[in-house]
Amino acid sequence: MTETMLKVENLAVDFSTPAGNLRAVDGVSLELAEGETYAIVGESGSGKSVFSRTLINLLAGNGKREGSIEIGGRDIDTLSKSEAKHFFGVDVAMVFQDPMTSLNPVKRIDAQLMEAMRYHLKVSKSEARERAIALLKQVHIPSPEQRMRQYPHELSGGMRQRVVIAMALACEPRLLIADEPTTALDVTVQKSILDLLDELRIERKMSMILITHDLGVARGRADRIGVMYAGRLMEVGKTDDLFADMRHPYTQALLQSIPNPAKRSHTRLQPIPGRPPNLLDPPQGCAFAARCRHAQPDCLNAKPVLEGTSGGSDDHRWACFHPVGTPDGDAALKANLEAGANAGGMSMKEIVGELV
Amino acid sequence: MAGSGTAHLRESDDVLVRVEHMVVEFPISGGTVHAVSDVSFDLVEGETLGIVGESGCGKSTTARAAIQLPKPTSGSVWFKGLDITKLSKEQMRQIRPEFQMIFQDPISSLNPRRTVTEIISDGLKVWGENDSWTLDTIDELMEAVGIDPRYGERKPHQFSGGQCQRISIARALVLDPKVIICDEPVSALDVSVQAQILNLLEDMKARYGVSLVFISHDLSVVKNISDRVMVMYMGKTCEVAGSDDLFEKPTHHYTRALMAAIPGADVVVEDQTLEGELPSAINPPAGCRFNSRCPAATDECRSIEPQIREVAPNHFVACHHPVLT
Amino acid sequence: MTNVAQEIAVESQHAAEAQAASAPGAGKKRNVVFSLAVAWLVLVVVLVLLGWIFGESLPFLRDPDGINQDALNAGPSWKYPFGNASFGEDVFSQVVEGGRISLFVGFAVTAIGIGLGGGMGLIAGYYRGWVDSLVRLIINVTLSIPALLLVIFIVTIRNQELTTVIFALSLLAIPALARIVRASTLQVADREFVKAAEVLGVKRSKILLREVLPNVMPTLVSFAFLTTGIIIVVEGTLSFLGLSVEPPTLTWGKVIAEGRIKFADTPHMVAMPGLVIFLTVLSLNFVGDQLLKRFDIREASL
Ligand SMILES: Nc1ncnc2c1ncn2[C@@H]1O[C@H](COP(=O)(O)OP(=O)(O)OP(=O)(O)O)[C@@H](O)[C@H]1O
Ligand SMILES: Nc1ncnc2c1ncn2[C@@H]1O[C@H](COP(=O)(O)OP(=O)(O)OP(=O)(O)O)[C@@H](O)[C@H]1O
Ligand code: SF4
Ligand code: SF4
Ligand SMILES: [Mg+2]
Ligand SMILES: [Mg+2]
Repeated sequence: MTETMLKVENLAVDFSTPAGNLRAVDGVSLELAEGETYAIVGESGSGKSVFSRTLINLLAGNGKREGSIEIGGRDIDTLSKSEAKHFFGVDVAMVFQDPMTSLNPVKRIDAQLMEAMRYHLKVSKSEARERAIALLKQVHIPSPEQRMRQYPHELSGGMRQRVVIAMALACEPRLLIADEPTTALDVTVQKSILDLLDELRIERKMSMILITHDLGVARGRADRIGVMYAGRLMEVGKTDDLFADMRHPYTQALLQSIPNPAKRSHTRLQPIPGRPPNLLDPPQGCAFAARCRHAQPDCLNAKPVLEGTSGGSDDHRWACFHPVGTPDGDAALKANLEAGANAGGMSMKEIVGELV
Repeated sequence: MAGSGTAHLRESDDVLVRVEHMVVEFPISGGTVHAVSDVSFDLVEGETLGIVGESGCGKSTTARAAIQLPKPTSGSVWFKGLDITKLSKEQMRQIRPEFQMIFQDPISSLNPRRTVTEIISDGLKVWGENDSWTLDTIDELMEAVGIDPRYGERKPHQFSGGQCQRISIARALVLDPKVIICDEPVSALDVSVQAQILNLLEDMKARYGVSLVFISHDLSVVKNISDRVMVMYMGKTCEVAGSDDLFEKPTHHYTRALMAAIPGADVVVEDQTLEGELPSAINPPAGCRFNSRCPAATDECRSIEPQIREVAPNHFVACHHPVLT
Repeated sequence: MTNVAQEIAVESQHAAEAQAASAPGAGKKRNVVFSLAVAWLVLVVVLVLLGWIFGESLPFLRDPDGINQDALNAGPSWKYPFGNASFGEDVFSQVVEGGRISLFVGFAVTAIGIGLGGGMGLIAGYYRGWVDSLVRLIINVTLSIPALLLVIFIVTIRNQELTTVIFALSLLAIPALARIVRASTLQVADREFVKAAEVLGVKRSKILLREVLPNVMPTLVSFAFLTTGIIIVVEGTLSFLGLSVEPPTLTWGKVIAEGRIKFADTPHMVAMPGLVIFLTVLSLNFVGDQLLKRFDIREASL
């Protein structure tokens, strides 16, 4: 087995807000091996961004973290201030959804690229320039010598995202965290950026956390997937296992709600009715209970924890009392269909529509 | 001309709208943006026409110019035997109720200072009550689109994005239109909400017998909702075919590149990535506009513009060397 | 540096939330100041109006020109809260009377500025085309003339009547307000709900009134307060220079100018009206600013 790159244990993030405490991430644990891609998938507001920012110690002023984060065997709480300076951005780097947030609009590309390298790696100016050109080549920017002299706004969205990726890679990180790196881009550009990330990851044996709301992206690019909902991981597993043997009702509902290009046109979609819970006033039991087609009375009282065929790389776990594809889950679904509503009182007609 | 032609236009009686040789150009300092260059399409009663293509290819401009917002630079738009590009402003205003539109940004498309009931009943106040809806039946319409009529006095910001899109749909439906143009109506919505709005559009189409023009850059969504799909690239038509047909047998190289880019799906085309950047719309390439990025481009492609032709029954493509299987 | 850039990005993204969370006291403090500012403005306006209507029949007002031998140049006292002038005139009563002109000019000019300038900006921003070009030309030309000189010029070549002063100052306010309203209209007219109304077939004039104007209104109202403040200051300056309405009509600037002549004896004649102008303008600015912020926040949370 390869080395563990990232180990997160029982991570929780609380924000204090005028309206009360908001737990955006709740008890997330995961392990990421060297060279692996781990995708975190979830709806808007599920805590994906907060989670990814917490990994590089970028928590908003009103946030508080619990739990431990180990990167490359190093607990980030044990880093001294000066060590941290050359750790985040060097060993761990991040790519954000909007490339403009990471680029300084009034500085040329080369200046921005070289500055980071000279600061962190203490290389000479000419060496930094050489490296910058090599990097831009690596991210497939044509005629990098000329492009380097341009300002961010002179580049297209796809080009900008490539530059941001080049900047993130400048100091040869071992772990790359990409928070929706392609959401703002066209499908064809998205493909080329994801191809690029794949290529670089394999070349450099880099590990990657890929945040996305698109199950399709996760399916095509990740070794493993964690499905996040209301700040908790609902189901985790190897990509193939997860799709072949889907256990969590939320994962199933999410997949059924998106149009599948392999199906004929006018195939009826099954939306997930209702809305995610209010994180300021979270439910006592399973966060998905109100919208879940399997929900039983016990789901309303206690929170399920991740369990399943755990152990090493075959790890496939889900947090559900009545999982899909088990006799218990089937019975729960049948009972709800007969009752006409789930335990949260949501009508089954809305939840499953014409699917069953 | 390349990527142009009218071979795909239909001659049946139930053609509702017929757009011929439409050109839209925007003069800007330093040149002219060729946003739409000789695009033709038609819409049959009860049909959903999907328009796909990358950002900036002219999808919105095409659809908006068809309803004279703004008037196209040239070309004609036939509706009920009239070329509506020839109408005066006031004459055009008189037929506006027949064409409605739903926008991408659900929140920005509703006036933040008016109540939901005001917004939805606006059309009736301008045009008077019609056979389908009256001021008294607004509540029914709200229920039909899934908005609780009790919330009628609320302002748009008290609703979620998906609910705002429902309100927009009701506002469009109240005039009993023939055509609704949906310009990326689900692109700004969360995945689980997207399905709700797509289903609602399908239901409303069946119930009230409207035709839809559905614009999106998401191929899966377009395939799901459309009967016929038009693929656009840089203001030109690439391919027009029935939805399932197009996805089973994409023949234009650009369509194939788009399909290869659908994330995580098992599609019929070989893996390929589009090389190079989108050329400038101020100075588009001669010949086939896709030639700078096409894997099959030849000298012919660089000089002569391909014409739209039928390569299989009801499957039209504008390409010198289509992939025919 | 990547890290710093990222940090800034994240910080700004959540700045609003974080700020609201970390400093709940700040908002409350601003509310108290806002109420104080409004209270001050109401007090000033009510006093001036009362003085105008009831004059000396009010217990706290006297004839502003009434000579009082016992209190020549006297400082503020219980009886004469703002002190007395060279002939013992009651400065407080002078300020109350002077307020008539100062405030009236401020309000009248703002009203004209909003009516004409705002109207121009609205039409230019919505209809665009040649109307816009024309309005932009007018704005640019008038704004590039040294404003105060123009006003002084007009007032000196014509008689120093109230209408002249208002006319001259309106030339300052109209282009400034037109520009602000035009910018705001351009922004609103770009929003999709305006397009949506067009699709519905609403007449353009109606769209302007029903969809655009209500959304420009907040900006307009906020800037009305700011403009009133500025005009009061400018009118004060003109009066001080003797270029506003002719004597014997009193204005705030004139009281100050008179106090300045024998500043050593009557510093309160400069200080008291000065303080009134200062507080009034400050309040107007603060109220305008806060209104702008409040509307902005409402918009942002949409
Ligand atoms: N600084 C903060 N203060 C208070 N609440 C916050 C803060 N940052 C995030 N949140 C809340 O935490 C929750 C998770 O937000 P997050 O941005 O991680 O979601 P996400 O999954 O990334 O969503 P999206 O797909 O929209 O980016 C949200 O409810 C958000 O409002
Ligand atoms: N008012 C305008 N003035 C100048 N150029 C314009 C104008 N409107 C659109 N364009 C240009 O016309 C081209 C087509 O734009 P359009 O908005 O129709 O594309 P689109 O396919 O709808 O893209 P998107 O997916 O980003 O909405 C683009 O190059 C755009 O920059
Ligand atoms: S069955 Fe119960 S525990 Fe499982 S997802 Fe549904 S509500 Fe949650
Ligand atoms: S083969 Fe030629 S005509 Fe066909 S898409 Fe490619 S460049 Fe265009
Ligand atoms: Mg996010
Ligand atoms: Mg568009």
